[in-house]
Amino acid sequence: MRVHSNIALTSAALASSFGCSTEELRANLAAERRGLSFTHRFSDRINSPLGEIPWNDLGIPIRDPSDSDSLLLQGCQAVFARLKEKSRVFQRYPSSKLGLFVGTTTCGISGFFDVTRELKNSGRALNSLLKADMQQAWVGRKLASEFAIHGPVYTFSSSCAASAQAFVMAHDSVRMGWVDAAIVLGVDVLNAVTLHGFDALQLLDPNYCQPFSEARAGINLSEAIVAMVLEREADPSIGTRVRSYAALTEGHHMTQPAPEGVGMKRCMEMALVQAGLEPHEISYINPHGTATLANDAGEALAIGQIFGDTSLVHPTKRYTGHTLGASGALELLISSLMLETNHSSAFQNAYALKNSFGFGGSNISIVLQRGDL
Amino acid sequence: MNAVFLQAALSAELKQDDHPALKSIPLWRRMTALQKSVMAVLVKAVESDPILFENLKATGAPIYFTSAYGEVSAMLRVTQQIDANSLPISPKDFQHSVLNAAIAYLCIHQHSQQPGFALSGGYESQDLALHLASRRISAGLDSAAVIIHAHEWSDADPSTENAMAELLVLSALQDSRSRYSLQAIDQTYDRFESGWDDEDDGSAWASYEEDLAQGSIAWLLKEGKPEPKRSLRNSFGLELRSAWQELK
Repeated sequence: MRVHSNIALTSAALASSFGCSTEELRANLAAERRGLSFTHRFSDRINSPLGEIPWNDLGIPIRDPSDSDSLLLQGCQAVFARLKEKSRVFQRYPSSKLGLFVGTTTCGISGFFDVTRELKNSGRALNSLLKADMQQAWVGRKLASEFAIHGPVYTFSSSCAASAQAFVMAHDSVRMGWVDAAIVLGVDVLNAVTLHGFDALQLLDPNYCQPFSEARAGINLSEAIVAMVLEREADPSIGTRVRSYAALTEGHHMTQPAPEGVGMKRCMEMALVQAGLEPHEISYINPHGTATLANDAGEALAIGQIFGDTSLVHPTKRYTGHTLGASGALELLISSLMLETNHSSAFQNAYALKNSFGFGGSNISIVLQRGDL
Repeated sequence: MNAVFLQAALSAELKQDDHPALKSIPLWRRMTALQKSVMAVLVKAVESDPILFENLKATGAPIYFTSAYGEVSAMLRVTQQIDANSLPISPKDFQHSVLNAAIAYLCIHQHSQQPGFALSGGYESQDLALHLASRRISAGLDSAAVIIHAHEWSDADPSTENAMAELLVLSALQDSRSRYSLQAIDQTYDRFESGWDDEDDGSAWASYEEDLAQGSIAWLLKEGKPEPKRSLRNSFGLELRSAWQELK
């Protein structure tokens, strides 16, 4: 989808193991600090580094590590309160012209554990136990109600592409005038299902993950809550713009990328064609880069075929860990910061490419550009 | 603004569907009830109009897959294994617990690279998908879209597979397939003020209200047809309306 618009990413608030403000993200990127640790609240379950949100710093004490949805909701409320302080979006637009687009894969898991216990104890039929808080949409509905967001509220749950999908749909909703501004929320919180799930798939690295390295041995799981505002902004000095995007489903395998990264390559090529850019005009690539053997091999091959080599690749999951459904939002924000700041003289910082390649071959590539271009 | 036409509308209930083509689908026995219901409605739809689905594939029409609760049985098997400390959990159950697993199977089966968007919208999932897909077509962002809405449930026998799915194809193109045109679509947290009640064509509103205790699903199609006037309200007070006109 080719986009020519003045819709900009104007503001963001976040909570992550890699920083809880855009200033912290910038500083940690510059220092190449790792937001991952061997000491975490799931040490009794998983022998692998994890990235934890500093919950205590947010004023959210962890009473029960297994109640991920309680943390998820409180964390989102805290991040939205910060966004409200930072951004004029809640005051500037009528509530009916403000939308919320959520990307998540873990929301509702606590509700499933509750039902598991109820099924065991009560013997009642499952139908009578289904509850609203088992839906991935429940946090979006709750936040919309609490923060008076009365425009469209959508929850995308296409695995690791979830918040990147939410981002482009939010963008298009502003573009077609459905809303005046949209908040994109990428959120996933560590929980027993994802930890044991990736462990069962034998995809966790017991040491620090090394995406795009020959020594890579798997992922480090992490958590993040990222809220970003997309709105029309006439001042070109403010915010990053979306240049284009492309999405496809590989139609190959549930967990493995298509051979030689052909689905990934096609997705990036489509985004470049839509952007009207040649590969050499891209100066920064934030890959999906999970550090799994198959994903990184396919993505590296695809990037090499399009761009000649992988020298532009900045695999930031090395620092942040894999925040699953939130990773698209977090890495779009990082890509935006990389465009805004002259972080490295190697980057001309004009156009950035962000890839999100999820479970089930759910691929999306987004080209961002600096506002003053 | 483009008009929006309904090109195909079908439902399939897994329990009653003994279509012979289904059991020959690769990976059929691995699939959850929800995924099987999606494949069942897809096979039915492709058989009824193969050219339409080839066109949708060729043009990369987006697929919006929605479900209120998603992969209930797969996710429950995962949480039950963890609760019982039966580790490691089944990798297959974990893979199947993600909401976009059904889209992945659909695209593998169809050799399709159409973009798939897995939406969780609670009680109003299916209406939200209709609103998003039709607004994008109206605005010229997409020329067509596929909506698939599915739900699985269990009765007294938890081993029984119960699931149902419905499929709608929307298009900006009016042709011989076009059976209905979308007249209007809107949503509000307040009472609708104009443009709806004024247009009294004599047909009654089909109204749905979220009842958390019942957990019922308000399907978009009734006997294979969209309702002329539909209103759905969720427990947070959001009301979504849509109106279709049958084409002569």
